[in-house]
Amino acid sequence: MSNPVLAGTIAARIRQAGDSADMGFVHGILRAIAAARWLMLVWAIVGAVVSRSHLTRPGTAIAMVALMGAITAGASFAVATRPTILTRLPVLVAELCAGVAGLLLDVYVYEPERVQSLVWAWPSAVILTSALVLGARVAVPAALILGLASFFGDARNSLDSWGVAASSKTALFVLAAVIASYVVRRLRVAEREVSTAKARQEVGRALHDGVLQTLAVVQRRSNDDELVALACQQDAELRDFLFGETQPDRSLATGLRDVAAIVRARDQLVIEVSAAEDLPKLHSAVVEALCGATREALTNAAKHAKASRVIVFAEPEDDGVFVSIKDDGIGFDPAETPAGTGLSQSIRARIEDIGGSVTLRSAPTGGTEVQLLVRDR
Amino acid sequence: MTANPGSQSLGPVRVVLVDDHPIWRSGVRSDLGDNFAVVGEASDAEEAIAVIGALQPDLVLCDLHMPKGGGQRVVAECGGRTSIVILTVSQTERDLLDAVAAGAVGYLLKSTAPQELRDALWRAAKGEPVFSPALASLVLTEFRRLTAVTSPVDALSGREREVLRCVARGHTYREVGEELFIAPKTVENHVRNILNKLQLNRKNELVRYALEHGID
Repeated sequence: MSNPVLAGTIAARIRQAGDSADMGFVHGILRAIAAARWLMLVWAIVGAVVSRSHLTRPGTAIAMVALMGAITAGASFAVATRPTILTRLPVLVAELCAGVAGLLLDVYVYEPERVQSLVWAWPSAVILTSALVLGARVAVPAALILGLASFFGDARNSLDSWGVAASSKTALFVLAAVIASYVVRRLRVAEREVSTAKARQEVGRALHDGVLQTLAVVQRRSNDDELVALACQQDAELRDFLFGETQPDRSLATGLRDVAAIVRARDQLVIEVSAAEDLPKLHSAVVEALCGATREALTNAAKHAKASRVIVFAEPEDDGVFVSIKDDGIGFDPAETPAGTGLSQSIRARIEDIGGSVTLRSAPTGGTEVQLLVRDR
Repeated sequence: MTANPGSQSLGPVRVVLVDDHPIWRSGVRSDLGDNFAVVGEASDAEEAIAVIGALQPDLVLCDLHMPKGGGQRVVAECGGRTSIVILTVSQTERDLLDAVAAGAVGYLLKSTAPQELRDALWRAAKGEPVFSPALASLVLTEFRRLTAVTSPVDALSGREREVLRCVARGHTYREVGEELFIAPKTVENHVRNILNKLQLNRKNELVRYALEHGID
């Protein structure tokens, strides 16, 4: 869009909508993780109480549970007030250290015979948080570190079974890290796309009622050619930007409107496009050929036929489509113009390449009509 | 027909403009020229219905999207008493067809050039339908849809379909007549029949929908 300020502002607005949706998404997951922390804290407390007779170092156990409680409460408080704190790297590293310490101490409080694991799934909170914020690249190493810690913790205790236990726990941690970061990444993209599309629509509706109407008035009412050209161009570009009509795999209706907008802005020609709603889905080669041919026909109307108004019409036809481009220009006499020369050559070549046919009709009084008929195989 | 500038009122066509954008109304007002007199204006559907009721204009130019019920409401309430032409920015809206089926005599795009606007409105004031190529295309699509969903009570005849296609392709009534070897007046009659069939099928569809869903 050639108006950088407006385009920039709108783009920023839309991006903002995406950002805020993303923030909402991140907050939701952080809230869920905070709730899971409480569950794991309850587990630790219940576990410690049930197996209290086996605790050889009750003081350390109480300190551990108290620390878990403090982190849990802190995390919940942060979620309620400033959730972004939880996603800072130093906080994540501190939490990771606490997890490692917990896993190492877990066995120490029951030595020599371990009956219970207090910390157990606790470290999954930090794995999930880093998967959410920093992705698999950080979450997987964190999972490996925690797996390693639990490996050393278990190794101190029972030498015969520690290998299996520790590696399965590590595998579980890594799995959680990978799955969580994958799912989160996909969801974030989807969430962002949905809300950007919504914002784009809203902005579009607002501008449609205001700016586009004013541009229509200017185009129609002004005697200043330069101003009209500018309004046409802005109109086309604004529509293009708002309705995103530049996707490579466009429909025929979209393509025809694109082409019309380009020629309208360039040649100040009144072009009406009426494409039927029930056009079939066409192969992109067919769409591009039809749009290219239409563009040629419109250019001819502007340059040679001295037309002021062109109607582009498209409708389904049996197992294909019919497109016509009709102008109100000077026309030509088919009897005097050798068929297939000059102007029609580029149109014919495109359409015959995709197995279609071109009919050129003109009466010296009634303007020129180019008809394109393509069957879609 | 309700309005006939040629015989009924010898003065200019009395027009009411309905649009929520004042800048647009002032633009159209100065475009209309000497053959039209803007006797009233309104900026939403409610106001429009009151103004039209009080002034009994020959012709109403009405925007489609406005506060307090759009152009469709104005057509539903006043379409029987006066000729209403819908003026719109976009030609792809479904409710446009509803407005026409409800009794608007046609619609024009806001980008229509002043001379063309005057010509079309003059014809509309005489009771002719304002049948733009885009509207013809919409109607064609609608009949295709009707035929696919159910057999329409009143399908288009082969000739009517030909006429409709010619208009959609951008031919004037005169050009349509030349192409199909019929008089322009016959073309006009075909167009009128097509619009009647559209309204009939729409009504019928509403009735059938109501019956199928048990609404009295």
